[in-house]
Amino acid sequence: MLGESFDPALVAARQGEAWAWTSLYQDLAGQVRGYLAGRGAADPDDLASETFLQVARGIGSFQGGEAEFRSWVFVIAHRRLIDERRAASRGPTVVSGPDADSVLHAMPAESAEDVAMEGHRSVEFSAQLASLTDDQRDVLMLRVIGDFSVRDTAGILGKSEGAIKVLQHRAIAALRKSLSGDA
Amino acid sequence: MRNLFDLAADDWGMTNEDWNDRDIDALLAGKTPADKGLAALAPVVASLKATAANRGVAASEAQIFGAQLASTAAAPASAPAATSAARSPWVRRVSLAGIGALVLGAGVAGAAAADESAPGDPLYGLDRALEHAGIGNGGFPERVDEAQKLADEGETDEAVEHLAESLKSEGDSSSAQSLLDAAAQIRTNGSAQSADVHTAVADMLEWMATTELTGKDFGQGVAEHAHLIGAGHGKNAPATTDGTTTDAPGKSGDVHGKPENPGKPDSVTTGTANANPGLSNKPTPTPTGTPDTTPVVKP
Repeated sequence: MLGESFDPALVAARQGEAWAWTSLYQDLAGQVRGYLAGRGAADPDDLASETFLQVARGIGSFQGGEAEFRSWVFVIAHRRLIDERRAASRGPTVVSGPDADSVLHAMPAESAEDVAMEGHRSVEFSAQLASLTDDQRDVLMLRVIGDFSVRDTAGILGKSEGAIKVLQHRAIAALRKSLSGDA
Repeated sequence: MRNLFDLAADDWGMTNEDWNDRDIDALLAGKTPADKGLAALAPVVASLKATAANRGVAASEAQIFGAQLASTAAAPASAPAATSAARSPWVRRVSLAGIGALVLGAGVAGAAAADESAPGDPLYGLDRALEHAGIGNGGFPERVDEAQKLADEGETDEAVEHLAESLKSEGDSSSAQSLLDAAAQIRTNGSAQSADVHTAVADMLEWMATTELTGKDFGQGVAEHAHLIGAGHGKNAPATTDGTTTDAPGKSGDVHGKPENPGKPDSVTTGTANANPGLSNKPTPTPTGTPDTTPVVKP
């Protein structure tokens, strides 16, 4: 959380200041990637990049404080995730073009160790969350990784706080059952 | 008195775990809750949090990507959308102009890809809230996208009913009733999962996303599609009142051949010139999705 520095960062971000975007990206990218990984994105890092590019394009229309901004970023991330799944169901997507290349090539290359660790984390994620329904995963990811409260989560998911509590309760019960089954 | 958790516990066929909100909050916040049953899950939650933390970005990466984002944010919002057709699919995915072009040019499939939340979906509430706040365009085109998502999930009756509600709110109660009748017929026939019904609904959604008909002509088209949906026919697209024929899903040429003046009833106006868009029977399509102030040029 950026706290008091969020508002000036938002103003500067709207004006295209690199330092502001660096700050916003560094603050939220990890959580967004974690959320996307937990929701089964094929390439969470790439999808997070797409998410932030869309945030940058829409920043002029955004109004609100840091809490609303975080919610908005997660909404976009979720939409991009669904977009990816739809694209995957329609067939292979060709990644090409100078704009895409310029972004992707600008990113630091991952080492073999990074890739291996990434695979290990993905396996861990899958094992831990396999027993949950999509709704339960949504709630758990937003609560645990997004650090959203029950109220915020309810607002993001368009459900009542009571429904969120039931879903998180079910998620925990499913995890517990899965854990005891593994033991 | 049994509470919701008790009922939920019965649902999953498990014994009731009497966890309180405080313990659950503590667990999900990464702390060790007092309840021993929950405490056993603390390592799992810690692992999830650690995974997210591990996905944090290095300062060098943040600087590089921050510069890219700054450049993107500073770019004129009115970049010509017509050029998006020549750009890569990857770029289109992250381009709001491209998203708008998808809505208008690629039909329902592209529209659905641009904005995915539908009624009952996790993010639908915030989606509508953002629309009300002026973020995201909403309106009838977005309702079409949402209906597409419902149809994709096999809820064709819900999809048709969703459109009916939208048209009713737009003031087109006649078209709304046609669709409500079709939805009722689907339920009566138990044919929500039928391939023919799905095709018929897809036909209608594609037509709605691309047609330039308005007013009574639009209503006539809706009625014809609704009839086919209720009858469970998706192969033969109905002839519209302008003499053209709607195309099967996947075809993109149905916009062509439509009259330049589709014939609006005198009492109904549409499009950007309409001072009160809520009166239009079929609002002029606008791009959907998250914040987008970019004017869209129809490809």
